[in-house]
Amino acid sequence: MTEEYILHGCINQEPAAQRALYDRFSGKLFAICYRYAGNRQDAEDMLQESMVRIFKQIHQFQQKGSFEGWMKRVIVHTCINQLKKQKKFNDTVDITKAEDILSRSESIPSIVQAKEIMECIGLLPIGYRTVLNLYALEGYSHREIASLLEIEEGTSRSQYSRAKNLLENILLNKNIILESMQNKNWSLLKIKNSV
Amino acid sequence: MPGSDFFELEIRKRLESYMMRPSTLLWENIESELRSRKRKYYYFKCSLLLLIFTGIWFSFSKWTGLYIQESKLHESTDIFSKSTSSEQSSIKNIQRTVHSTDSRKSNQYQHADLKLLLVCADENKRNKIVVPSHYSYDSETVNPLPINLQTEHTDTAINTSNLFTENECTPELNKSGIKKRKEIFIYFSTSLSDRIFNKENLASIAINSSSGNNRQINYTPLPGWEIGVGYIKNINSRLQIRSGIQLNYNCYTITAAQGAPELASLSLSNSNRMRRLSNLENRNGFKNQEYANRNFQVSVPVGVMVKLNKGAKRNVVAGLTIQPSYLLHASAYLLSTDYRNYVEAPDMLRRLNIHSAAELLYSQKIGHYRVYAGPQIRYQVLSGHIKEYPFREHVIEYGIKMGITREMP
Repeated sequence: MTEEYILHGCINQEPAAQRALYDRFSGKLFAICYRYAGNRQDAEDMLQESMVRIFKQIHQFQQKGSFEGWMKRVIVHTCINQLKKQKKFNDTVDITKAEDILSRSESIPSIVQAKEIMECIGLLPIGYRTVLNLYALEGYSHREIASLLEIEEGTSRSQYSRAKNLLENILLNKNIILESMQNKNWSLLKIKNSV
Repeated sequence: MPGSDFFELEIRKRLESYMMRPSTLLWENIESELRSRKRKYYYFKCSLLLLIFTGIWFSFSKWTGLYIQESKLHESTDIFSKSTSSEQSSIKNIQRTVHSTDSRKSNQYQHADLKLLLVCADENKRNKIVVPSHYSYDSETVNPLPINLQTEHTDTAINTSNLFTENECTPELNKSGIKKRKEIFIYFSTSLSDRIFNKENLASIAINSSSGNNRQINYTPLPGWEIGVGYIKNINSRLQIRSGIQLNYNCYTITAAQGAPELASLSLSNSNRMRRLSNLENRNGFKNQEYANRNFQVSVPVGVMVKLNKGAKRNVVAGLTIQPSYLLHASAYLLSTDYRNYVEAPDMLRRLNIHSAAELLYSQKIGHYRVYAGPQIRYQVLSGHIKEYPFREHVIEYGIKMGITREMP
């Protein structure tokens, strides 16, 4: 079953095609939502809202770029809007609380590497997490992030810098990375606690 | 590129193909939300049409001229206050006389009558009087009321003999002596939808068609309805012509089972448009469910009604109409050409169609109204699907119709 058929079916609002699209992409899209939400419940709400929006706006996809890329953009915008609605961006980020975050991170079970990183990202304060997701994972520029989140470009840069440091420390604290490897040899991650 | 240092690249690399499984209930929530949006849109359209429909009905029922005259009156100065006291008393006397001469209808004559007289005064048409529009003349009992006024008010300041003439009080008669009466007709019917289903150009497809197409599918007729408002005009004592606007809703369900999504073809051609994904199986699969095929149309019936007997009060009327129709909303599950799947494809339905209807109605006159009731049958003349779909489907609706007419003065 090709993506073309699924896409065409979804444009015609065929339930079977919609289901096929959901089955194919929900795993990846849910992971994105989880990165922004930080918990399953909110992530599911975000995914639901996003999927409804995708099915409703699918005729706007112009078939020039990647369909998955288009869906990811819809997901990211929906997640940001949901976070704005919940006013979670008002959470102030206090760097002195990083210690708490680090100590909490020790209780996270390590199962697989990617999941551990996801859990660690989930520990970041909402502002840090969002900027980190947008910049490091989605590839948005600081200018775009500033416009999307309605913040200063400088704020985006500083938040990202702090988010990155904090995440590195969490990963270090959880022994996901070694201190000596923190800078250059990050690719040689050692998973000490993996099952 | 933003986020392209070592740290970001590593994070991205590790997370880009990471997947998490949402809960199994999530799809059901999404599906129900999608359907509820469709339903909301459908109800919105229904409400809008009902509103338009009601508007048409009211505009028809108020067309009598009385309201037009009243609006003129509002625009003009208050004639009554400007008229002399003797004229005022005369007008009041006229109104009282109208009340007393026909007690049966007296409660209908209120300020509106007075306003009509005032309009006449305003337009310097004192040699004429507008007969109150709701003072209609029964075809059986022509009784021009203003004659009485003529005799009672000759000595008043307004000479009522100049205000009207007998001709104006007499209903319009045609050469054959039959009044060219117009009626407004509002009706409702409930019906069951059956369908005639056959195929075209399917000889090349290897299917077991020995049992006939109607036996290849399971469907159940469900109740539908029709509501309409129209206009009836008498041509002669027996024949009437009729037109109007009506809304029709019909529905039947098909039974299908959930299966794995697969490509289903809706045409002999291999165009992508005619190949759709389907997870509904006609015969195999699991968890049988019923899926509704619904049609919601607006149509403009044009036709004739023939009185089969001569009675003035009770009649049997046969009606025949042709109804150009437009499909407003539909849900449609179409059988694939190999009979294996059902595909939800409302875009394959024909928007413009023609229906025909026949009815046999018993009618009874009650006051100004005439009520109708009887069976009707409605047939979809053109297939409900577009040309590319090889199956032809003609919906037949059997129902009971009820209606009411009121004469227009």
